[in-house]
Amino acid sequence: MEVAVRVEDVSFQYANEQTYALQNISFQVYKGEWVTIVGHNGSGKSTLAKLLIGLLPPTSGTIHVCGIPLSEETIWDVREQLGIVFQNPDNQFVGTTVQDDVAFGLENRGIQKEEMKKRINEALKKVRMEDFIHHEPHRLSGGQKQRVAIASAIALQPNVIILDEATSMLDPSGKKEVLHVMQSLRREHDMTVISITHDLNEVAKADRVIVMNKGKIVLEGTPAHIFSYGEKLEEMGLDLPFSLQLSRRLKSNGIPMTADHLTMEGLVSELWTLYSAMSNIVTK
Amino acid sequence: MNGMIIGKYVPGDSLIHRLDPRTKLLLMFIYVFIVFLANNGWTYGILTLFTCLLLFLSRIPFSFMMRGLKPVLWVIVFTFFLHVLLTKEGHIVFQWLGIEVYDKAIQQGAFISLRFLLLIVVTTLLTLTTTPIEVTDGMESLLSPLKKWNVPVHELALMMSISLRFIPTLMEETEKIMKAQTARGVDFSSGPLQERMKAMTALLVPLFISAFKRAEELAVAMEVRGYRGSQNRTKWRELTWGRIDTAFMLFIGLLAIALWLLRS
Repeated sequence: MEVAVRVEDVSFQYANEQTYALQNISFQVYKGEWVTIVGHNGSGKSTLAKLLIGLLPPTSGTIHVCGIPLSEETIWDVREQLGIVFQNPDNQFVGTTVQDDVAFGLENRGIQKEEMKKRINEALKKVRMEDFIHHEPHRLSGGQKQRVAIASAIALQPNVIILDEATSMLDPSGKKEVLHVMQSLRREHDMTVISITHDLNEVAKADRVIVMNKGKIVLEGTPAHIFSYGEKLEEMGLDLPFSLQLSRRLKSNGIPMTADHLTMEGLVSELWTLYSAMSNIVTK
Repeated sequence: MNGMIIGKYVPGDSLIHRLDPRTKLLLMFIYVFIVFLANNGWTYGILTLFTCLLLFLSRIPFSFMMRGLKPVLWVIVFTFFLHVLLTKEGHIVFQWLGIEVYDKAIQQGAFISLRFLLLIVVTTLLTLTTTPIEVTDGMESLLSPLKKWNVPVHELALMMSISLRFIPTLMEETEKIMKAQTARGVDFSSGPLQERMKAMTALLVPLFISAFKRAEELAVAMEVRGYRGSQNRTKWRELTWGRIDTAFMLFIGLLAIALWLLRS
């Protein structure tokens, strides 16, 4: 499989600080993969995000994005490969209206007006914001603003999309909206996504999860594999998803649950069929 | 400040709305100068007629305009009386309590306040019919020759458009901070002036801190979207100069000549 992002033995130390914010981090993200990097405050995940987009240079180690080694000379080439959605919906909205905001990145690339028009419409359609093209940002909800931010990123046709805590300032319905849009984008357009979050609820739909703590990678694997370390995750200050917590508690109280459910849907479907399953057992 | 309409945009599709923002800016700029050419009944008459024509073409209701002018009306009235009382030319019309009022004084007072009124109507008309972003684009385009002398025209225009974009955001934030501080016992609306000024620090400090933080995050967001200044940049909003724009420019040119010829 083709590698989209390769991080090799990267360490980082902030000036005037004794400890390393990142210690010997190595991982790879393959093309078309959705990787979630999860960690509590101070785990180094935000530092890692800054390193990936070239806002901070690593103290040691190398980062390759789509084959380009990240350095001061290549920083603009690397950024062309990346689309980033940040945490605060307001502080990344540059344009005075939705279309101006999507146009901003295209203007920077020197793209001609006709092509711009096409790409703006396409990008807004992909995030289902095409009806809001003339809206000003203060008339949009947080989730809608983040969808515009996604549109602004994908209009530039990046190879990798980085979600840097993109849903952490949104209400539950806004979170759902944004994740939904990202999932359908990935399904339909085979995008590579790196999602950085502190919320384990967002982990369930990822292909692969990297758990960070105190500047190191502590766990790596599929969501199911990660969640099998339940207590360990809680010790690191991460909250397990409600569905997982509930299925574990039910099990420890003697209810025969077949699995630790990562999603609400899975839990609900087992619960509503549970009664008939149990009565079957009794009648036998 | 509720009655103020200067700076508010009224959406519409009138002839004036559709004019190129550059035309409107130039029109206003020239108007501000030629207003001072007028010095007799004829010239003021023509100017008033022209202004009324613009107002009519903009489809902005006359009553709406008048309501918006209310806050500045007392300034106009004040200007009028100042002239009436202080100018001592021509012959005395009447005397009262030792105050002498001359006929020239009344005439001049009327002219000066009319001039003032016309200026305000025209500048208000510009902001009523042009969105702030159009004004910014127009300014950028008009000032672009200054780039030769290293004036950062594009950067200034971008700064202006970003400021415009953040006004509602910062207003919302101000409100939020005010509520939060009121809940903590800060009193913004009563007490002696000195106390109230002190209370303002509880509003301004958090507001400034967050504005700086926003600025920093915005700069990063702009950079990762490839912003590197004005070089090799294309523009999404293009201004198009139409025949109607040329017509309006010719029209104001004729007006200027007419005023020049008719002034005494």
